[in-house]
Amino acid sequence: MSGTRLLSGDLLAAGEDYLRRIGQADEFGAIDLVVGLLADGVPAERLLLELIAPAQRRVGELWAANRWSVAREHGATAVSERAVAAIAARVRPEPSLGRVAVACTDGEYHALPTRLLAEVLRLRGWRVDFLGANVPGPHLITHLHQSGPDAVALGCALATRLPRAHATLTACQAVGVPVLAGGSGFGADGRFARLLGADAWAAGADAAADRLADGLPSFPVPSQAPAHLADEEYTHLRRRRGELLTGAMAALAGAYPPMAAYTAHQLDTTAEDLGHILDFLAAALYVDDVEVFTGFVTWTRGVLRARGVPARALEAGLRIFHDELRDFPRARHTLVRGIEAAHDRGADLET
Amino acid sequence: MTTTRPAGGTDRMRQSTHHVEGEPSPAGPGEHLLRAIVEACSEGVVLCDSDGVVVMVNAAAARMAPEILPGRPAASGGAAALFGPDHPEGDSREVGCGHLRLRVRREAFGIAHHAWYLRDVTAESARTDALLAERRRTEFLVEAGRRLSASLNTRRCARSAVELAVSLLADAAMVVLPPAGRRQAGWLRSVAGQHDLQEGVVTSASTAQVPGLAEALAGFPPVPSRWLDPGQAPQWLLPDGFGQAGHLLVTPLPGNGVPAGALVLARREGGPAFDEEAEILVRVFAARAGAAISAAALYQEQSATNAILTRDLLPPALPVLAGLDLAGSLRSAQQAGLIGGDFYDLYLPGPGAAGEPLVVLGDVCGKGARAAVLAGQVRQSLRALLLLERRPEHLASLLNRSLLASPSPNPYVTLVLAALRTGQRGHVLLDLAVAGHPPPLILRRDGSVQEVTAGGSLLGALRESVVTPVTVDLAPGELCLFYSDGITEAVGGPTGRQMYGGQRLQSALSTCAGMPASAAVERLEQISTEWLAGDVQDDRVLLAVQARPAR
Amino acid sequence: MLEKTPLRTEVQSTAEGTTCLVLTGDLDYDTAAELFTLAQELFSADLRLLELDLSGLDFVDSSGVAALINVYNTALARDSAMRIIALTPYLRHLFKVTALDQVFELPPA
Repeated sequence: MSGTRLLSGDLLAAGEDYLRRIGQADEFGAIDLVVGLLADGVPAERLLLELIAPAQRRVGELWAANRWSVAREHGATAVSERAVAAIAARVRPEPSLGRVAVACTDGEYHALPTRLLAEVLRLRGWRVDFLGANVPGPHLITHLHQSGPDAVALGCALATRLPRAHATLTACQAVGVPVLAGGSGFGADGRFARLLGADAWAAGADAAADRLADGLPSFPVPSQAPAHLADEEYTHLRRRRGELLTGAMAALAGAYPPMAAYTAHQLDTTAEDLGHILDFLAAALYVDDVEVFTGFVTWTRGVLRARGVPARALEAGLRIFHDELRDFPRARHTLVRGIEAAHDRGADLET
Repeated sequence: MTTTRPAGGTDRMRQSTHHVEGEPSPAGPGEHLLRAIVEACSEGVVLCDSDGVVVMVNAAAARMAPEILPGRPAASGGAAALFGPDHPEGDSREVGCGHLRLRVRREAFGIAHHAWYLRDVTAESARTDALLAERRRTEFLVEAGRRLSASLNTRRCARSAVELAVSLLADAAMVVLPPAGRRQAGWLRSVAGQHDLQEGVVTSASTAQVPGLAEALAGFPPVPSRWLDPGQAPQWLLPDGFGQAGHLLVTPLPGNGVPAGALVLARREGGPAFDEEAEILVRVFAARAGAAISAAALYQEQSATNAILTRDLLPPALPVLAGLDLAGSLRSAQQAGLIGGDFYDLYLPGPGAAGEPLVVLGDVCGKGARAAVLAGQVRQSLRALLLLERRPEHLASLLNRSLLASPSPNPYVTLVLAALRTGQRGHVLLDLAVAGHPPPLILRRDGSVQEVTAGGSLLGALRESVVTPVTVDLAPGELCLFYSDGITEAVGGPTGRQMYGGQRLQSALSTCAGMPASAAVERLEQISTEWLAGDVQDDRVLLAVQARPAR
Repeated sequence: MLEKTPLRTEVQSTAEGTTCLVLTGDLDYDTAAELFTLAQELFSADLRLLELDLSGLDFVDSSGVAALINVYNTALARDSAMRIIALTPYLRHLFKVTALDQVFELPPA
């Protein structure tokens, strides 16, 4: 239909405008824009998924490319939160379908995509309880007992949260509520959702709404813990995290003399970066998927390059853990792949 | 190693005349003898020629299927089902024949003959059926136990009950829940083969139309199951499009001391009736479902009460105020209930009343529900004291006296009180009283962070509290952050054993320059949560007051 | 998980009517009651001055501070005294924030 296409073109232009406004933390301007489009007859769901969601993806890219500061990124996201709230306040269909609890994984702060899902489900006629970001598992379970929803939609944006998402997922299923998993943490094709026993998976908010409309099993099917966890590499890595990081900091200081002049803040940041390496390594071991780690390394390399940090620094960190983790065959194999990804070389290490 | 199986009847014929090489061949049995042997066999034998016409029937076969007669095709009349043309050579099949169950095997003898062997397995098969039925019942009850024990939600339990019931017991199943105070009873229904759950409510008058249902809902102690005359069932009892029910059974759900409702089972016309065995199973199932539903109902009641009691202990919503933005975050160490000893609150002057909005952020001694109750008392006391006094430092000393009179064993509180005034050119002025609490931080426009120098003693411990007031001036976009020691004393970090500390908080805050208050608070909370890495030790609270940035 | 260190208490009688209590480990929500119970026992004997050596405390939370206040109040109620003879810089900071440095007798910084 030509009318629809025209509207898409308009939305594209409006999207540029919207991005500019949130980039200036112009809350009223952004809200005026979406409210105006609503008044022009653009459906609320399209505003959420074709205007706000793409703009937020751009925000992430602009931060990664070091074109936007952390403050600007957070400011823009806060404005988008308000814009979503403004749409939700104006379009409130009567619930006609069942009840769904929507939550982010414990420790997860990327709430906006999950919030968008909650609003899309509400627009489609579900009764939605949006529990927000970083929901503690016990709180979610208490909520499930109290409100008895037909399903939980669990968001996980970062692979490092997968072990916690798994715990939450299992706990929801144990109280008899099926789980729809979503978010990039579960893999672009949802393979980790399947691995960890989710009852369903959907790539995006509209797919999730469709999937829920098809109906989830009324009672979840019990699933088995992944067999590869039996080697306990994940468990040991988690347990030794502090010790490994302390060791790695010392090793890095030995290998890189300028570190002696680091400020406390720089030391914290370095320790944090090394911590991220370990967390993604742990996640890769948890789901037994090397790509979780190499994907992180490639992404980090891009972020560091945008900030003028050479890939060598990242590679040095990876090598230190590779040398340290002698009794962890899966971890070492994963690190070798990571070093390749950091440097596009290093296959000689695989001996 | 290779093995070979004798295949085909010709081999068998050869085998039957096989003898050891070189020994004299014994005389074979005569035809009469062979016939007698076949006659005496307990297995039925029907020998046919290549056209499938019966050549010979032994006594056992005649007993099992009297209509098989020599000279007629085997597969004719009532016996046709026994002798399928596609019956694989050598294989056994079980076929029903009148009241009997027969195991049938076909063997070929040369190209001219084949025989059918019949074995009566009726008794054996009945035993197997009974065993299978028993196993189905056991599996059903195990699954029922698993599903019914999962949830503490009444609706989820009732849903599980009806879905389980249609998996084995009936074509449609309905749970009518006891009317909750009002004159309406909620119900849930499931129909075999349909995914969707049906839900609704009925009036007590309607439930009274169904014999036994009102009694079951009222929980009169020993109400047995009742078979209903399907013709008398009111329309609401059956799903749309179900048609006339053949059999209806109403069973009370016995709860733990309280009625848990009733289970209504319907089978379609032409389906089996509820026999005694089915009814026993229904009763056992109803006992489990009833226990689960009533436990859930009890939990729901308690959690509703709990929600009422704790509502005032949760942090308030922060409204949009003239000239300034507020953002707060409270993370409780007690994760299920979200309440604890850290708190913040906002007091707006009543409609038409003079005075500025006042915010408080504090930390009472202890953790969990006990601390939350004291925190709630502090918030209520402040609300009352505000009727008399609005100057923060005087409020603090009044609160100190009120806490000293408190019956709580450790009524110690540290807090920050701030009266919020709007100044000129978009500035916001905070009149602060800091009572034994970590001093607030100020984020200036250039990203620098200052600690407010103000002091005062904690409240509830000393006869006289001394609090020195101080005023903070925020230019547009600048922000004042209140926090509890749960933030700065969080132990974690990369090595897992470092204290977060005030210095880290200050540098984290300085990275928030230019952010809206809500984004700054969320970022600081995120950093703090990541520092703890899942090892939550104490309540953590943050509250930011920001002079609204110029547009 | 951060492993917690338990609270250890060592009672030394230094002079007639004076007892010194050396505390090490964590004085927090889980252990605060121990200190208070012990202090009450000590005061029920003929004790005029309770000296506290807090230099070995790794961690003190608000419940720990509450316990110290309770010990202080008990001492006052019995016409005895409580004196802190040693403490960590962190504790001194904590007492300063809560203005308890105005109340407790502390060693000079």
